[in-house]
Amino acid sequence: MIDPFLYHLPRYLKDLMKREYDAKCRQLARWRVGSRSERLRPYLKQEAVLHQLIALGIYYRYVIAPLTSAGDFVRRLVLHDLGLQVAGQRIGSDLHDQLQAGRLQFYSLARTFGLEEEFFAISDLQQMVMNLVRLEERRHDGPI
Amino acid sequence: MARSKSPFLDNALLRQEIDHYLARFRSTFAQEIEKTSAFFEIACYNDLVRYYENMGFEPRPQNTAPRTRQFIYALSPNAKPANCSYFLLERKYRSTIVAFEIRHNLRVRSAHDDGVFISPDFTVIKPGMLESIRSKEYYNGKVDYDFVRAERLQTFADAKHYAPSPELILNFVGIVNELFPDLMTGALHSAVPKHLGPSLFISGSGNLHHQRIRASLARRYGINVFLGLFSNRTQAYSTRNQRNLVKIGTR
Repeated sequence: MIDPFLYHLPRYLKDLMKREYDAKCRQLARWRVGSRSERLRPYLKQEAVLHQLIALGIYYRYVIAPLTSAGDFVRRLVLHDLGLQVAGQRIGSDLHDQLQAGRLQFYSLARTFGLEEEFFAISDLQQMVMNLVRLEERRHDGPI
Repeated sequence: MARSKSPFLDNALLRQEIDHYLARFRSTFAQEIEKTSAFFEIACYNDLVRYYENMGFEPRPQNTAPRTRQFIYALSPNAKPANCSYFLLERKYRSTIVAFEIRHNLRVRSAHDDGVFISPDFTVIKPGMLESIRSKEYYNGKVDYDFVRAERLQTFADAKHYAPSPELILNFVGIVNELFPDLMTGALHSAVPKHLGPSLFISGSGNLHHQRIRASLARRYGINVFLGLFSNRTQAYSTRNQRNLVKIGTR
């Protein structure tokens, strides 16, 4: 499930992301086998969906969030009619706009499914699944 | 109000949306991926500027490239401060103007040993505190060796784009000991304006154990450890979080 996210990324990052993904999938499998919770069982059973969200969260934390984190600083400089040069390389406003477009589109995708940025920023698997379960339960109770 | 989709019930749609997203943005992100650590560091620099901005200081970029209109951000401590941009912070207190500079990757001389230098990612100093020496020990005596004395630091911070670990957090105490030995003995300055205590910005979110270490270091040494900055960007400067921050007075 993580493979589509890894295309074109450098090897070291691919390895890091893959390792985290595999570890979380193993953790999830152990949890599913060991869990006696009636509440969690229907969700833990749907491994493919959880794997998808784990992969999306890893992509957010390793790629989207860090690459777009300097956006506020670039905007601050724009107010002073300045550009940003990092280690001798200019970060043009077009590049900045492209990265921010990627970030906004990601939020839009997440919100379609009732998820916020914070959901993907959490790396703890149990916390992530519990947030998801609570969200699904609220969805049954009323509109989200 | 329309219901949002469910990742479980509308999984085909989620898969489709992810495919579209990756097709559109994957290449752009991949091309710039080597800049992630640098961008994270810059984001933390911006957090520090915002902290002072929220305290009423006016930040102004200084030493920018005049012809190209660029703010020069250096990632190496070898960059000469004269060639790097920084933010000057000014605030009027009654009749006097108080000013500080937020520099990045500036070399700081240890408070314990004149031959030891460390370059935290960000340093806050008063204007005019930079010194330089020319010695055969450094660059063969061909170039000035620029630094600021630890005693002249107001505060400093480091950014780590990693998942936190107890070792990573605790190692920061070593730098605090080199640059702010006063904090090791609990001798805090109290003059206003107040600065953030030496701070460690970590991108990864921590678990309960990391949070315990954070609380312990804050209590013992006046150190701030910011965890999970991607989920909570505003920790260092939000008004709501100010009471949870350790602050130290101006020297």
